[in-house]
Amino acid sequence: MKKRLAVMALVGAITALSFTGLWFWQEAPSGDQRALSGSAKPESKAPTAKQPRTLTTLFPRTEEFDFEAPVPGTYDLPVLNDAGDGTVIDHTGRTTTLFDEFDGKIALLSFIYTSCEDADGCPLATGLLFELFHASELSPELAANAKLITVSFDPNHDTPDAMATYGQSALEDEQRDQKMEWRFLTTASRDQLQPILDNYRQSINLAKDSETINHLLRLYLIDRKGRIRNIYGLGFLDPRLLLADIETLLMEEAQEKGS
Amino acid sequence: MIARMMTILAAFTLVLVFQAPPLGADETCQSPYMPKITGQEEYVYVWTLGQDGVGDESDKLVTIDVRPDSKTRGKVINSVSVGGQHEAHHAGFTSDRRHLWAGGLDTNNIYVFDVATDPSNPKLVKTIDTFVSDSGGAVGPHTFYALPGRMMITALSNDKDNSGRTALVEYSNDGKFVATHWMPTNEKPQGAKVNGTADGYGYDVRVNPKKNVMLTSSFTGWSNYMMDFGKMVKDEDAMKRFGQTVVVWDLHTKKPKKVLNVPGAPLEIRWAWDPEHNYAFTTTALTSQIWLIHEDDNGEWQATAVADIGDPKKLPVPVDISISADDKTMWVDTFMDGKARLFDISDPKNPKQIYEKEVGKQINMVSQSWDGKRVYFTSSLLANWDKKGDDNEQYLKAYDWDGKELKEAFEIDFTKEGLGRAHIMRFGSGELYSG
Repeated sequence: MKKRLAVMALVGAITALSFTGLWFWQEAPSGDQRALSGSAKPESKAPTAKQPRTLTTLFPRTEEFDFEAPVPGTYDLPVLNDAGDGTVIDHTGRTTTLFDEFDGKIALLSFIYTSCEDADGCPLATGLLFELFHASELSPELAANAKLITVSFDPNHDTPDAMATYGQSALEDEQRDQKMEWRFLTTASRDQLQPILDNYRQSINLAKDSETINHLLRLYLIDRKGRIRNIYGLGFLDPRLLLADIETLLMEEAQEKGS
Repeated sequence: MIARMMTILAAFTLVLVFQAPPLGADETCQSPYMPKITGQEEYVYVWTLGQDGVGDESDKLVTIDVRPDSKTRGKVINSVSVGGQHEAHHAGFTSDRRHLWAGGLDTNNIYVFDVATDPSNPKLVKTIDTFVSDSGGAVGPHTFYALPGRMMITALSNDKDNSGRTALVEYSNDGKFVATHWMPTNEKPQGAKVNGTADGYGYDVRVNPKKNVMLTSSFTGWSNYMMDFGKMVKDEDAMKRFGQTVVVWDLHTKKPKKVLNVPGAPLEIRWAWDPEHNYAFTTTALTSQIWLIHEDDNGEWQATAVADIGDPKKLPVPVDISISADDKTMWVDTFMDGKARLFDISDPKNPKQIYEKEVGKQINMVSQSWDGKRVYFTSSLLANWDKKGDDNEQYLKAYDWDGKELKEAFEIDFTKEGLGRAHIMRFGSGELYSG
């Protein structure tokens, strides 16, 4: 239980930091909000005519991701697979399905368990989603069209209440109406969870201490038609890449509507 | 305010983000996107070419027990024949390391083995026999490189002229075709800067996610790799059909950015491991050189020849390479003289050979454990390029490396065992799939 509380405290601290960062964002000059934090990019060059301002400029180039962000719409995101459905339970205890949760939006789906302590595991994925969650306040288009979904690997411990606590910072965020919706889901049992994991080819192994679940860190980008368009793992968890991909899907949709 | 905001963002980034992922080595040469074996490997899987007059004459996946305390250590404990000869060549795990994909350069079949259910006894669970039609004409599935949820496959040729012009082909982990990315050519550079020429050839692929860079190298097409070696070297036109490029790609968008001039058929690519070491090595088969692929002071990717391997005039033909996890040394096998050569690469711009040993009359692949203390070698290059008669030794040889010399641990004669021509090795372990 101590472990679980410690992880929740970490997520809380992450959230607090996020709020701090956002506060500074909000103090920046208003106007073109997308451009707003482009000036906060410490190491990258200012956007040029060839490099239009995009959602990717909301985040800086870092030592860990030492490259210019891709320009949305200049590349394809081929369909990798159909996304899988499955019965889930939300943080209030209501039974629903993954497809209903996608709600016709572009979804970023992440599997976690709340007591995961691996710095390269669940806290990393959840931290990244927090970044995107808060950044979406600066982009009404992103907030309206995309959604974050976190599903637990661990129905035995991650009850709806536990998921509500895990996601409290987002679920009770005062500006949440201006941000992407973020859903925190679990399942009733391992039997209910397994088909979902199979659909997404997520393999898990229970460690001997029965507290640790060995798994690969994966995030899934799912389009409005329920198709997996990208899968991210360590090394790809740069918010600029995820935002570039979401923006690419939005541009693709606009093109399809126009044609 | 901006400076303060930058500080916050930087701190925020440090808290949240990301220890750089390990960059693959065999164990030191694998994709960074899969679990790796940092302890004792338990099994070595050898993708083996069927040979006329040897055993069932079919290509097969051979499993060798290398567990130190096992009664069957150093023995073949399982073998899965796929039926027929397909020019078995390279193989690679999916990003979850639960399946091993193994390709045939001649028939273009891809065999998918389940190595997770029982790592000591892989099972053939799927055969993809639509590679050419799926890809729109790519031929010769070669490197199988794991990206999250998908497999990036380099091809060696095409079905139009059987030359080395080819493509990268992506499949999802469950075997569905995803996309084809044709190599840039002089006629269609696809926006890439071209240094010299863009031959459109392919061979290996490796990535550096920190720099968002993917590198591909270049070999030769079906018309050469299926030709008798002696005949080919006397054929002037055939000898002109070898790759001379390394392509720098945008990893995320899969767009080629720059074509580097690396003459002499650059083959295997290995990135250094240290997150600060943003460089890769390749070796050229025909010119016997080590090349460094690196960023210059302006952030431009460049290729530089940094060392000779043996005496290039004697055509030693460097083939497989394996970099150590600490970026200090690299094994280089030279096919013709059967030697394993160890280079000190701690100064990447000035590699020095520090050790060599003749392992056999011919040698091709090398795989080392994560700690570098165990090194495995196999013998076959290509069915039509292997040496003839008594020189056609076919083996897996395991050595212990103490930092000074290779000491043989065990050897398996693939001819006597009725197996065939031993090619690529991949490590397995039950520990990967247990708690």
